[in-house]
Amino acid sequence: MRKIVLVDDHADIRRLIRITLGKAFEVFEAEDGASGLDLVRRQRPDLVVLDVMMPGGLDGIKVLDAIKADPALLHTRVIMVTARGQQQDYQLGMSLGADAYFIKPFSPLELVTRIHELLAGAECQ
Amino acid sequence: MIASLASARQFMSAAPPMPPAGDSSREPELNAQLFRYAEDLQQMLERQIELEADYKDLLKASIPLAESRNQLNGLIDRSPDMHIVTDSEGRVLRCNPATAMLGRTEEIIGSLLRHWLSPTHLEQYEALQRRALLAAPGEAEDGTLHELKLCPGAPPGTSLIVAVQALPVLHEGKISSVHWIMHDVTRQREAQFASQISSAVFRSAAEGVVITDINGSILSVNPSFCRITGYSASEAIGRKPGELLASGVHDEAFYAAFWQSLRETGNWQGEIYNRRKSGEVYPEWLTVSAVRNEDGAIESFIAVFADLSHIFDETQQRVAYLAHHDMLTTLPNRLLFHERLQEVLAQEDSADNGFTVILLDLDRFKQVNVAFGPHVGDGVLQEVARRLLATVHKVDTLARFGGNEFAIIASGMTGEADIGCFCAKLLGALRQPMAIDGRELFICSSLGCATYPAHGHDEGALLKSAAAAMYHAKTAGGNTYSLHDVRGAVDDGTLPMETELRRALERGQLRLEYQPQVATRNGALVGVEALLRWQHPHFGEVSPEQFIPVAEAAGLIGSIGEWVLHSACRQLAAWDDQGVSIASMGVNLSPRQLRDPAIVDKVRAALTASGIAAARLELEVTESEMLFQLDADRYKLAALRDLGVKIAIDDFGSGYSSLGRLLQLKIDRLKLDRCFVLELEPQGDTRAGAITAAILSLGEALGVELVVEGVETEAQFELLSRQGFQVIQGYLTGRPMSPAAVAQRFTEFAGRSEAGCVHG
Repeated sequence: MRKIVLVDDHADIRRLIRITLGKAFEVFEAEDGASGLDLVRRQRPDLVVLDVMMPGGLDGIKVLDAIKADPALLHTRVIMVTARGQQQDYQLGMSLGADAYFIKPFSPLELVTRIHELLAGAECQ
Repeated sequence: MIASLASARQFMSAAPPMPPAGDSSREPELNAQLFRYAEDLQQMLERQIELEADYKDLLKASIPLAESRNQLNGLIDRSPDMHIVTDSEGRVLRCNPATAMLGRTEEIIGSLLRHWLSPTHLEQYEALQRRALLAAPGEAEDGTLHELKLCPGAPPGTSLIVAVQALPVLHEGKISSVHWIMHDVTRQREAQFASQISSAVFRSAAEGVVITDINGSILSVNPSFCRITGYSASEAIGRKPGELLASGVHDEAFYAAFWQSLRETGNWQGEIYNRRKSGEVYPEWLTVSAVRNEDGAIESFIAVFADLSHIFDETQQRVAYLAHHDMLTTLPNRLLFHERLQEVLAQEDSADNGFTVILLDLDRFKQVNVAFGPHVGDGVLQEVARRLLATVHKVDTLARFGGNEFAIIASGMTGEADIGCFCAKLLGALRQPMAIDGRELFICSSLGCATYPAHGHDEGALLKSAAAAMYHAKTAGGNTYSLHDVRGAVDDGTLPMETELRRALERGQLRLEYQPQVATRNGALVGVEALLRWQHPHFGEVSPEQFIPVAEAAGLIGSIGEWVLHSACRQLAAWDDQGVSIASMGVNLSPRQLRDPAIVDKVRAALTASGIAAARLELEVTESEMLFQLDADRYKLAALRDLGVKIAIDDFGSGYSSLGRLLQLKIDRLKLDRCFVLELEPQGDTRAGAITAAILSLGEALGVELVVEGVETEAQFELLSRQGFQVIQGYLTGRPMSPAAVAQRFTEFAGRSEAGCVHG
């Protein structure tokens, strides 16, 4: 089963995304950047949904950077999620190699569609 | 289905993006995200509605085609049986006109056939459908008839019972659909059911039933006949009822009238005395009906009778109950009380152990009746009865003597301390506010006690003694009890606790502790509340809840209250001398104290003696203690306020909360009851949170300061200070403590804030 890691400090938002994804994926959750990165390195998921603004030393941008720099995680797709009004993050995130970018509040349907697209694309490669 | 989707849709589109609720900064984020979910859901619902509409259109279009191919259409259309074809999912593809007994064709086509099934027959239906769909092609058709219960669309609540055949329909060698043939058997089943019921009634009726032929010979009897008369069926059949049952009570004329009525009207009904096999004569209520054949000739008689003997017994019991109980409260009345008391006096052991008779009279009950009407008065009496019942012991007798007078026989209770405790419990139970007819009432009572054998050896002496004691309690102001003394002198409380309490003052057993009141802004000590403590050498630490009522009942509250006032003011002055400046001192004022005509002078004296500015003394009055004597209380509070002292309402929100009345009283502070704080949740979205916020704005509007009592956790403190409360009192910010501890607390805080200034 495809693995997805959710990194968001808001437990309810994680829960909503988990519900949206349904039972089609194996979903792991982390509530901050440091534990998120740790989880990604251990699970080597197919995809990470990553919140940009998080407490602690590692925000989403730093986690993204670390994932993209890790040769063991070449196949891992990253979808960034950021709060409205943080759109300058978009430029930064895309330049660091994010595969998709969503602004909160995002459409769960679109998120799921995008995840399927990204993972299907990965299969073709 | 569509309707529920539509209403869901309406709900979705009516829902605006949710406004940020609560205090958490993350609420708006979550709400916005939830709203996006709702929007997605709405899109999906709309798409589903479109799909369903498309599917229906498709089904309609396919019907004429199918019809033209079926040569049997004409026949099936005229069939009185329902013919229904369903697809492999059980959705109706076609149906014939006979299905009108189920619903309109356009309702049926496209619906799931299971929707028309009674829930009790769903399983059977599913099994039939499965079997039809799984039948091997060419397999002999299962011709078995099964019965199903259907629920037609209208009229609601009706049902159809049908004999059903489910036949597989082959299309290109595969089973594609099921042909249902349903034959209505509702009427047959109902008739069958009715006959089953009548036979069940015959067998199980509590009434005796006899069926005789035209000559009166018994053809059949039911089990109840045997039970009531004592004759078995074999003994009865072939005999005449008169031979078996005639009691000899009724004369010939009675039976003549009986037979005449039966022949002329076909009926007789009445009370009749019969005799059981045992010889016992009993009353029965008898109904005899003639059964006629199709030609109208009488064929047989059916007699149905109910044994009335036990009903007579019950009536007698009922009459006895009525004679011994008070109908309003269902408590024993004076008569039963009298009988019980006689029993107790006659029983040697209970007389040896002794007992106490307590008379209880509600204070100012007449005023309740006059002010609110007798129905409120009745409600009060019923509530009083309930509370007393919950308080007295099971073996005790609690009776209502009529009016507002109640009486108790407390078995085995003779010790003065026990009686005192019990009376305090009764008073306490009645003192709680009562909600009657939408009003909140405060009812007090007066109790008089007389103990056997000390205060009387017979009922008359005991009741007289208790009544005198009760009268004494009344004249002492009510809301108290008193115990009759054997010497005839009414003793208003030489109970141990009262005696000890009298001495407590002179022996220095009373002391005050002070509970800090703290500013939420910076934790500064802004005031204290003086709390009375009694350390007794034998009893140990006695709680104020225990001894204050005793002090009130014993008339000691005046002197104790005065001591508290003086001590508290002196303490404030002593702190001043030490450089410990405490802005205000709260002192509790009991209702008795408030009604003391000299109270204003006493307060003034305490202020003068200590040299404390009046504005620093805050008198705390509990709001629940003022139902009656409203004007007098108001006048007294105003007079105290004229002295310059502050008035606080204690335990606000716990009792008789008339905001209108609070507006009439000139007050300076409201002390919020701890019940609000106990309900506070850290999320800040509970009712209690809303109430505290509302009280806060009320306080601001009235220009009244608010103090929150009973704050115990950081979360409560956090929420209350966020809501804007300025002053907190509770275990979190300090338990009641000694004067020295208060001084230390003050010094520490002063030191900290000075240090803060230096570094800041």
